[in-house]
Amino acid sequence: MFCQITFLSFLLSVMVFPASLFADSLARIEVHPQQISLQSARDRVQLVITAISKNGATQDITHDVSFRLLNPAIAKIENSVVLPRSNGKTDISIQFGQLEAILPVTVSDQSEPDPVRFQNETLAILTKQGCNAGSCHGSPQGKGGFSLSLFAYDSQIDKKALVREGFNRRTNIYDPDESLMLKKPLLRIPHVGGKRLRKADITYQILHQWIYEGAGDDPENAPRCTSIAVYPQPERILRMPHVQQQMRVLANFDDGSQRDITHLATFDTSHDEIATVDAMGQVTGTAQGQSAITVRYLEFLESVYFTVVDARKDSAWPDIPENNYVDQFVNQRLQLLKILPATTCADTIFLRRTFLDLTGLLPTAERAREFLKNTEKDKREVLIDQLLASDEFAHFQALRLADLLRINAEVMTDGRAKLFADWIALAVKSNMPFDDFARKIITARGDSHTVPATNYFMALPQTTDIAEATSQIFMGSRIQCAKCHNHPFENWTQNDYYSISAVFSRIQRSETKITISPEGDLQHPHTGQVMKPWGSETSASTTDKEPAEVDPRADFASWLTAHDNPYFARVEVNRIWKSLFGQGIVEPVDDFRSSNPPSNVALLDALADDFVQNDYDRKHIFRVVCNSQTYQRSTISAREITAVNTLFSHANVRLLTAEQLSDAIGYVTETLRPASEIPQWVDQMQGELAAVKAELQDQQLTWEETLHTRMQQAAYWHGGWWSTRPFIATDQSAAHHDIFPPEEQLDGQPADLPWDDGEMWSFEKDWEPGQTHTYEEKRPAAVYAYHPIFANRKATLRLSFVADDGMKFWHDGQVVYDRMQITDDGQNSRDIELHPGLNHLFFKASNGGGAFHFTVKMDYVKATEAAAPQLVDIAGHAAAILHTPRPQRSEIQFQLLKEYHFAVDGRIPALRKRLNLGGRFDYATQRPYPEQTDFLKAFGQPKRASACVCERVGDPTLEQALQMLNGTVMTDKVNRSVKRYLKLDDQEVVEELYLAAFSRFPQPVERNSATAHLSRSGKPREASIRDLVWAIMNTQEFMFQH
Amino acid sequence: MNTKAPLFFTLILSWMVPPIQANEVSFSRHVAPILLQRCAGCHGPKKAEGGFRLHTFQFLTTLADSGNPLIVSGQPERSELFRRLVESSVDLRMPQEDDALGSAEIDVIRQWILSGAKFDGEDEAVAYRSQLPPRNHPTAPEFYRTTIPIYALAFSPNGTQLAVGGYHEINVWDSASGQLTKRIGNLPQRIQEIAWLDEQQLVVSGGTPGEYGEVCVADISSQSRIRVIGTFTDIVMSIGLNSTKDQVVAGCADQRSRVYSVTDGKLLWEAQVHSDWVTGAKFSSDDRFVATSSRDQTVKVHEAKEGTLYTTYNGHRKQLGEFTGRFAVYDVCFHPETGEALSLGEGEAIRIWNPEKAHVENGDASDMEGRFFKKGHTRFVRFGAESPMFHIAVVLSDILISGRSGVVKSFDFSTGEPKQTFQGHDDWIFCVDGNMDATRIAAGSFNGTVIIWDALTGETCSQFKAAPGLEK
Repeated sequence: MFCQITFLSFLLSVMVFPASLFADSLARIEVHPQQISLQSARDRVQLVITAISKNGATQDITHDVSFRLLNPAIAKIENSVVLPRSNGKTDISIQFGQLEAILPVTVSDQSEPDPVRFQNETLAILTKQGCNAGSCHGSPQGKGGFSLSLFAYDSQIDKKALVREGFNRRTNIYDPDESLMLKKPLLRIPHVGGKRLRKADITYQILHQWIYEGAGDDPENAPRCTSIAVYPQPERILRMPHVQQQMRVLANFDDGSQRDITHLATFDTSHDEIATVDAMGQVTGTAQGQSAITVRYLEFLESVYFTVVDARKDSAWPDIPENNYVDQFVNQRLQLLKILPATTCADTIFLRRTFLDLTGLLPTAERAREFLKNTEKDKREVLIDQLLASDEFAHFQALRLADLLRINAEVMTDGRAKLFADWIALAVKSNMPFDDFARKIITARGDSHTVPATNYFMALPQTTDIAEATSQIFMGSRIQCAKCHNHPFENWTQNDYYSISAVFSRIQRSETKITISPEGDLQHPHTGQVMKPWGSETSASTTDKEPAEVDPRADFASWLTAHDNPYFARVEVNRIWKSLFGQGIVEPVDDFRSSNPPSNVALLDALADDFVQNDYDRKHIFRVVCNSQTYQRSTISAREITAVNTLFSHANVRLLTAEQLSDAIGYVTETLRPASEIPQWVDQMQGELAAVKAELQDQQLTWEETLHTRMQQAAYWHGGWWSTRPFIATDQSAAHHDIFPPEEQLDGQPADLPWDDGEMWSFEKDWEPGQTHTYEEKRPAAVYAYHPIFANRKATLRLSFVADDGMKFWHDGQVVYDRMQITDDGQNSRDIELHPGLNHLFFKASNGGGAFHFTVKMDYVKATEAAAPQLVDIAGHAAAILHTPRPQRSEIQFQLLKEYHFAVDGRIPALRKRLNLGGRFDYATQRPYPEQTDFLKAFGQPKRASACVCERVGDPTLEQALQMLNGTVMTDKVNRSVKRYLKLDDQEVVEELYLAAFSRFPQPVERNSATAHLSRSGKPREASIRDLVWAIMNTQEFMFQH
Repeated sequence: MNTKAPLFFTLILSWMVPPIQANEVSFSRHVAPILLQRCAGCHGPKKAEGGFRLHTFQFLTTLADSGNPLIVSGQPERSELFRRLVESSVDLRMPQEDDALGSAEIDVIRQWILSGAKFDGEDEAVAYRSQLPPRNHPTAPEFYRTTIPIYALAFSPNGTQLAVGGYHEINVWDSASGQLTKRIGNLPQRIQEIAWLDEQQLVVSGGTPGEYGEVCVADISSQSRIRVIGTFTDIVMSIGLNSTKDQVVAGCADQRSRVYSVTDGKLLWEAQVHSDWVTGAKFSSDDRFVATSSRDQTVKVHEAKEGTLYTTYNGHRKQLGEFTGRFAVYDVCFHPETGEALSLGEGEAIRIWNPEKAHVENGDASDMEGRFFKKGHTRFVRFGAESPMFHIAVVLSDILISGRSGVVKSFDFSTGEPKQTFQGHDDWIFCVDGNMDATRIAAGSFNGTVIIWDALTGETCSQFKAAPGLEK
């Protein structure tokens, strides 16, 4: 009898597995777990059986072995799961070919009750079957009138919904088969969610059992899960054709017990084109690559990384040059997957690639020529060092950081955007260690006009916004989901979310200041528990300080920048990697989670380690990566083009970013001067500025006289308008009555007003009397306006007001009109007597919230007065000075009049604006906050509304094609390029153009056809040059980086 | 012809037709139930796997995506419908990922196709789920394995008997002694509401959630269902008789309300004005109105004669003043003398209101602003125990309310003052009733316990598990 069974099983195994596959190589089989104790009638153990070859390679044979129970009355085996039968002990013999393993089994407590646990089983099953997913009954409104808590975060809601709601509609404890909650997912009655259960499923049987036992809640002392363990861990390689792997999940409970919960856990795959996983934890590899299998049970989550290796005959691995450790780790991975890397790219490609990646700019034709002719062996290394030391590198990297830190001149007004951006550029240029950089930002406090880094908080109005942005930028973690529920694919729980938020809850902000309040604890919105700020446990600094002095951000920064922090260094080196390859090792770069594995764990770890060892020196990482053979590979892969180049076997062809493209067009057309000429250019502009100033100074007297004469001839003239931005108040009454800073100045001399684009007042050159002024501000607020009138004789002026709420009006410092609510009742106008000389008119419009408009109409009461000539283009204070005879003027008045003269001459403000940005005004890659133009937006310029890298979109669009073919930017620049090329002969034009656009010399055939086009008769040479420039820039070679 | 008639005729016919002969297979009676239960889940109104549906007969006669006819009359082997049931390949056999049909069921379908595949329903285009004849219910369990929640109980007119809903049955208990006297079996799975016609007969509503609902008449002496009044596609949650007990209103979880003649089962009208389960349905004491409450947070008042909507009571959705919130309504009834309606559900208070005043207060769009700030006429009586309240009964001058907290409370109708709290239950109480002279009050709970109290003293007269044969 025994003989027969053995023979039969042997026969079976031989039939299923050709002995040739294993006979030579297999050394032993390993059974997990090594012994089994089944302690209740419902206990079960999933076996995982591995064959290990002589060279250590593993192969899952769980479903391929034959089992033999020595005493079949004790236990049984179904689909490699061991189930109890009766109390006792026995052994299981596991056979695979010639190999055998013995597994001892103990079965006990078979008559002890083991009721189904509501939380640990019923709810876990609802999650596993997808019932409480966000798109099904877990959505806030539920589905079909049946609503569960999302991923079972609230067991009481679920208990009520399943058992009580609708008069116990969904469960039938007398006859569980008749329960709606089973009949629907079995599709015994129509169910929009489709078939979710089969009667043969163990999950169905458990739900059934739970209902049979009375559909009850757990007793108070029911064991709570404390952790889960997954086998195998942490990774497995599946070599085709052996692409199966059974997983096993074990839960540890707070009473010290353990249970196999493989049947209750939820399995997901990160890349289902590479590996799939079924409900019982059986993984199947389908294509070469890497995928994370994520195991969820209640709020616990573990991931196992699977690499699927294609079986290929050709496993020859040629000698591939390795420049440094980057190549070593990249090649290890490629060798495992038998992917041959591409060869080293040509100098032209390297030059253009490195320039674009490091500085955002193309090399100039001159620079390209020089590099290509250089025959030094280390010229690439030298170039990398030169670029890393350049200003252009600093400014381009600052742009990238400014994207992340959301520098926005509309939020950070009064020059604060520039302040913050300059600080970032300086940090990059001086190569500030990145941990210092992060710490300075996270712990910044003070006035945002003087402490640049405080501006980080200006773009983030809420405490939770800060927590979310900071996590995304420095931890590469999107924790937003955990605001409302434990994240289904990440270890971040709701507690973690509010604990991170608590770090920032003491931040207090006034209009422009960031201070830390001694109070401001954050409570968990559900439990009401006061949250301990994240990182405070790891630091001793809090204990010996007074609570008032504690800034939880400091502890958080220490935790974040600690050498062993699992996120900080990895996230930053990955961002650097992404900027150089167009593809992160973790992708997206701000979505680090265990269910989203790095494509090369060892590489990421090595880079992060190097970063930490070198004191978070970003330039060092740039240097290491750029010098690697991996970075210098060509875009043409050696053997095959894989759809996604996640292992860096070759370089990626990438569309230039919006800013790169804009500047590249500028370079080729020479509408943009090379950045290397910036210092020279700045000098030139300063010269121009001085010249204009000198010219105006020379004309000063003539200018004054002309103006003065015109003023004498006028009966009265109106100076322009000045206004303030809205001042926010608690309500309209406060807005109307409260004295805001400028109100004290209302009876002062207008000359005291800072008249240019200073802090408080701005000159409104487009305003006219009778015009309606509209404000976006929806909160209660007040605005001020100032308007001077100079009269040469007396006159009566009627002012009529229209406003949503109140208006106040001063004439020479006296309040002459004051109404909280203006209505159309005949009381909304006031006559004033203008006296000869300067009349100061101040207005205040107050608003209670919502729509905010006001209008001031001015009419001369006598028609003759109205007919008199008026001047509206002289500022009041300037006019007042002009009225003062020169000998009586003060030094300040002279100065002010001179400044006014400069300001009304358009050239000076334009020059100043350019100089203000250090001569980088025309560049897109060299400015921290380039203007949002249609061209840049079309190519994916981010709006900076969030910290997400997804803001910068890279997908090709029709609009991009239109912009490149005949957009206004393109047309204009192509036209202007003629100036540069017209002075060269045909050969030179073609060579210059190719070097500028492609960083290479034209090939003979290109040279011939291009020169032929230029010398074609019957067309003006300008037009031919335009054609050629346009055509070159519309090639893929130009628009893409190779 | 009245559009309601076909349904009515089907029902009439179904009472009169004797049990079917073995050689005679009816589509409606034999085939449709199988298709409904085993096929329409995937091939039905909500999903159409493989491109076809079979919840109406019309769909059965159209071609599937495969191009093969589902039914070829007289030739089961050429009919896709039959072939897929007996297919040997698991990948092709229907139902997919489920147990195969039993041989008896397969034979029914074979016989029906052989005998010509005739349709014997009313309308080929209408889902036959709503045309199904009444079910033959299984017998009730002789011994209960466990208690079941009690959804319905009612004192007989003279108060001597107490009918309590069981599993596929009604149990009648002697209200004085608390002894089980009669069991009426073969009734719908769950008994949701009971209304006595006299000491012999009761109107019963119930069904199987999500599938089937029924209103029928049960008889004490024959211990059986003697008449089916109507069937529904979901459980009938509530019924109410008019004052002459010749009409019954039924509120169903399929969002419909219907009024039938009790004596001949004639459907008088049907309304589908709620957007969620209808939880309560009652006639006003003057038989002018029918009120239906719903989980959609409204109570609808219909003209009892034609079923036209008279007004919608929105007092369970309040945004201003006291008792604000949006609450599902679980029951409604009328005060026999004042004609006022009483409604309750989620929330803290019962609403007492007059349908005519509610009608006026609803007004029209032109006076909306004025109405917003006008205080409604509704009287709010605070329950004073844990929400929600499930059931309401009015006995003489008292209001009886049962709720989740395991207590029944009585209130004086005119003053709204709480009078008595009836204790002893420790689970949700879905139903409460008082006898005619208001001397006894009975309530049944989720855990299957019935308690009968002395209405005056609040003392427990008897307490029992309404689960015959249950062994402790």
